Amino acid sequence: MGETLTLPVWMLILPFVAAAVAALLPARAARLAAGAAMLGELGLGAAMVRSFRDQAELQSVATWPMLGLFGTNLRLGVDGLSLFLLVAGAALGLLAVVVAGAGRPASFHAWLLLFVGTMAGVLLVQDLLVFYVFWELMLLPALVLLLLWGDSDRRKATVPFVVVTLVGSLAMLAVIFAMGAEAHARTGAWNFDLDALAGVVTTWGPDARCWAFAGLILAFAVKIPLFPLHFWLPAAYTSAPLPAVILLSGLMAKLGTYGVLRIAMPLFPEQAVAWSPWLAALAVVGILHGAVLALGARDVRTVLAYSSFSHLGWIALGIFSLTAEGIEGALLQQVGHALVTAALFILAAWASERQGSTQLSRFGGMAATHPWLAAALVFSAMASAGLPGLNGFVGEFLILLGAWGLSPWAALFGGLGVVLGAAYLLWLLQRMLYGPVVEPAPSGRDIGVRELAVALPLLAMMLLFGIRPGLLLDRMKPWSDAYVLRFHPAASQAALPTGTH
Amino acid sequence: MALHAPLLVAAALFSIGVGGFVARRNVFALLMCIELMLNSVNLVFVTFSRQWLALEGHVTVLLVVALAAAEAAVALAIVIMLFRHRETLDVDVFASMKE
Amino acid sequence: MSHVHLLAWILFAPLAAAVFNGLLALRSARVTVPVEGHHLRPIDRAVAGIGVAGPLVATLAAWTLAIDFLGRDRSLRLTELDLGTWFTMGQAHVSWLFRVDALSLVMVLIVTTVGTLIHLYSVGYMAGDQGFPRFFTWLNLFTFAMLVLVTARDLVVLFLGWEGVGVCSYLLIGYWFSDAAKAAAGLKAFVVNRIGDLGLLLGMFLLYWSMVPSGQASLDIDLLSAHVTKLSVPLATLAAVLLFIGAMGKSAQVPLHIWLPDAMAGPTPVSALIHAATMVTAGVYMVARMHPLYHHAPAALAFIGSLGALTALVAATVACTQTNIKRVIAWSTVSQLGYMFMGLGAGAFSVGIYHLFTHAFFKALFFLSAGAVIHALNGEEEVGRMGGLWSKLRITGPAFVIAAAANAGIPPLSGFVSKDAILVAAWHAHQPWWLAVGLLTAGMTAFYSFRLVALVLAGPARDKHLVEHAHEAGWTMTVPLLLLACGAVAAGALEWPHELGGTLWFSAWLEPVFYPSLAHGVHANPVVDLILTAGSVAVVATGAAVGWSLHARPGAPTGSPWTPLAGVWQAMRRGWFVDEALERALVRPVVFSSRAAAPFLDFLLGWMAKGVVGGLSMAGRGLAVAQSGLARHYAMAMLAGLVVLVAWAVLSGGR
Repeated sequence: MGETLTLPVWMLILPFVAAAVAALLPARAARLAAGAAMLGELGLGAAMVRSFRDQAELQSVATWPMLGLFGTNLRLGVDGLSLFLLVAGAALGLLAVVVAGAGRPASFHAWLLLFVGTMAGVLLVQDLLVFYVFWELMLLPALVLLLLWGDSDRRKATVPFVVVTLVGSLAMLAVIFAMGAEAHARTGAWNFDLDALAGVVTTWGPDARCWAFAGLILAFAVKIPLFPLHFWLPAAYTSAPLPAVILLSGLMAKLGTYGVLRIAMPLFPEQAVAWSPWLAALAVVGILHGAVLALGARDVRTVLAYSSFSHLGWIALGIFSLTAEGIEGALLQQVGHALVTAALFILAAWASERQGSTQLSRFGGMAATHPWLAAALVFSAMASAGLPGLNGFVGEFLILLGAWGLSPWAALFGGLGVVLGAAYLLWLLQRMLYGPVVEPAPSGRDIGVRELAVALPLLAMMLLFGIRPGLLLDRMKPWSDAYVLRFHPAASQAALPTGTH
Repeated sequence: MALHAPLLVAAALFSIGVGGFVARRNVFALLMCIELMLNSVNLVFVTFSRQWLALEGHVTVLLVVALAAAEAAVALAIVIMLFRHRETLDVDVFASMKE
Repeated sequence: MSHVHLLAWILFAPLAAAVFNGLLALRSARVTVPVEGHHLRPIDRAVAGIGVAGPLVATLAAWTLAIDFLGRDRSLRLTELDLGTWFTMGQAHVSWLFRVDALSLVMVLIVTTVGTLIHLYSVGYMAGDQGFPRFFTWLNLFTFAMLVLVTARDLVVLFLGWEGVGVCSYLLIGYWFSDAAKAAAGLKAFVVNRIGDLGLLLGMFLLYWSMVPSGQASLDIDLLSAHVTKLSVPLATLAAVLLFIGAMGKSAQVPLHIWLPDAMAGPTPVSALIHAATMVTAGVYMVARMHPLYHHAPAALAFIGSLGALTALVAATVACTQTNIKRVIAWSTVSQLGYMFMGLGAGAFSVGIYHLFTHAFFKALFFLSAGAVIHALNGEEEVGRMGGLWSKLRITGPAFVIAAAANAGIPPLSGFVSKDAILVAAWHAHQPWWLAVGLLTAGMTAFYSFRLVALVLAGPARDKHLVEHAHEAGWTMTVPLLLLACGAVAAGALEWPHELGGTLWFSAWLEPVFYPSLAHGVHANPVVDLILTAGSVAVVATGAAVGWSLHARPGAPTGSPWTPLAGVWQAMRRGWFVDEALERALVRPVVFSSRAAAPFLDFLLGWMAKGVVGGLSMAGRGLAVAQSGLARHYAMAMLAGLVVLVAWAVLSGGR
């Protein structure tokens, strides 16, 4: 039994309260309030990291009796899986508010806060039904931000996104209810607690478990997105406003992989083991497909959107390798990619602003006219390409290492993504930054102190986590070490004697 | 033997009510048809209550009568409001449920 | 100062210089002071001072370490710097562990010494360039990354240096980024190198997972060295070949050599430092560093040697035909790297490293003197406009001749000694074909080296106006030339052959690292060695004489010297069309799928999704008809439902 008011609870409540407040304030004050709230959220996150013990268990657990729907206890907590995603969510939220600029109305900031809050809810709750509620609620701010403040072709982006997401969610809801009903049939009480359900579903037959696993994977694969469910992504990423894109690609995509790790695989470990080669194959196809598309894209935001899709393929590959190395890499990459993708989208937006277009054919020679912006872009692109010493490398290395443990072919074909990744990122830089200065020349000043205040912390963190990934990895490792044992019963028995020493 | 007659009457009343409800277009006719159906059900309750010597049936009938009275009061008020708006009692004009 | 401190100075002095210059570069990028002529702005002076001081400090520390090592027992010639854990993988650790042993020290000495001279040279060469601070930032950073590469004790840390030098190379090749072609050459270099790097990564993965069952998985080179001997030979061969694919990319072996000639788009000091003396030899170093693995996989060694021989020959043929002064030397570098791998393939690791050592001096000298020529001619690189420069360039001219002679293998220069050692090693490894190819290549090397000397220096000037205004460079450029020339001449003394009365100092120095038996086995039969040496000298002399006599006379052609050869000459000039073939086989399919195939697939997927959406909305519109808004219709529907229910209840008999 835990407390009722722990850090996670405050982290969950703060964005919602702040959203309500911000909605009532005038625009300028709302922006300040939103920024302050996100700063507070980040502070809470930092406090959580400080108090975090490097163990596998759920920590800072808050138990709220009878608050789970159907009268069950609602548990909230953090562990190595969710800790840095929560912090990243707060950081990206702050970033989103900052780059949103002063021109946005109060409601914009309120919706941003709601987006962060619902994602925090997804990460914190341990009750599947409440998880589902947050999961669906999360869609609302995403859609509102997209529809009200998106580009001209936002409607085209919204329909496939909504439909495919809802189809996936419906499958998940069905599975969740089936599991709850099973608990009801067994114990006479509805129960959606994740730990309780893990024991319940073991009595199901193989067919039922198979379908349930498939339903959950479908719901999460849409969000990741896993090939071939990615078709909604480019339109959504390119037409959403920048602050929303930061949250979409920075965090919401990772909630897909989070769901796979938190829910689908622990509940149905045999299915996870049996299906992992196929899912890994889909991940590899996604890596290559996304990279190839990024290579051919003619719009800077499209390149980054496909790049994000390709990188999420890495994370999925690491997870489905079901090796300690691969899952560690995936956990690290979840956080690392949040950082890099946010930085790239922001820098690309600044560059497009100065160039007056997002079409790459209109770019050229920016390194000469805007050297600092160019330097930041090159740095971030190198981090994204997995240059050792920057934060993309260790995650990618561990993922590919784990993939080799699943199958050398997975490492080989996944590894081709390293080559293609370098190709499309450098090709992007080539078109934006190098060559003679185009006509009309990019206008406006180079990035100044204000922009650097946004970009420098990101770049510094890329370097820091590249050289000292242990700052993140040491918190995650106990969780992932314990986690993989579920999928390797033989190994867990072998590990037991050493564990008791 | 004793059940047949009241049940047949109830069935007849209910059929008249349903038929009228579906066929007529005047609001008052509809309300009367609803009353008919309710009262046919009341008749069934009373019949069986007598048959099994159980009081629940009578109690339910009283409840239904009270509810029917309340319903009639509300319904008439609505009908008056509708008439003031549209100057007609033809229900096919009131197709606002489509929206 | 303790060894560990020296090692820290070696590593971090260049890094500190890079950071400092990087800040200055960022500052000067925004506040541009126009440059007049070949002068240094005040900010450039600061950059030059720091930029040269960083590598210089590293050089002094490296030599201090070397002298100290010399006075010690060979088993004590080792020092390690431990900076903690980088990251953990599974149960294994990757540590920031830097180690200098005899082999690493050779590399460190090359990188720091040659590197410092090239930094100094760059001060003169790059003077007046707007991006001077940026240039020195990358050059310093490169030096740091290269030092990490050669001192890393863990393969992953080695990989950090490996990719680090790659990215610096990318940035420096595309240094004049306003020329899109030059920036594209950098891109090509990086991507081709990435293909090799994938091989290196896969090799690391294979080794790691082969160690997992033993419960001691690691990518620490020392642990790996102990472990690889227990591997099955096919597995070891596969691992060795995968690692070598990495070396093929970095060290420009066929068919991954295509980036190196294009890399000449970078400033000449970059070509000298990165694309001749140090970075491109990283593959050779890595293979030598992993020698226990390669010893255990003879088939992989044979592959390496054969590919090296092939590369040496192919690149030499191409070098014979180039008319751009830097491209001749670039192809020559590819060819010499082939020699090094031939030496490694013969199992003579110390010989391969020795050629790397001498090559660093004479090829850096070759590039720098070529750079001085280019500098003197205001950026002209085509030999067709040179000639008659001997009397104009009193320091550069002789330096150029020494470099060419050493490259050709004229005794007693260093190139002769190391190349001869490789040929002898090939013979002793029972590889007559390697020897034959090596001799043929030696002849061609002499041919193109002296062809270049003749075209650049001898005869009357082809472009009188250009040559008349030629001027010798300042001291920052000539001093490195003189020092490197001394190195190119004297480095041969370290491994002067037994049969000519010398002592194998260099091999003896590396003995603690490599297997001691090798050094003795190679030189078992002095008579055979003597015959081989005489043969190679004869071939070299012939090639040099032909190359000189054909091109030194006035009006000598820069194209094919014999008309019947014109067709083949053209094929060689185009690098045997390897570039075009790879373009068709690899690049075009990828571009096609990125522009057409993959978008079409996504279009299909989107179309299917739209089909689902369309179907749903059609169904919705169909159902909407039922909602008439008339209470009667709803009542009828209820009645129908009631009828169905009752009918069902009656017909099923109440069950």
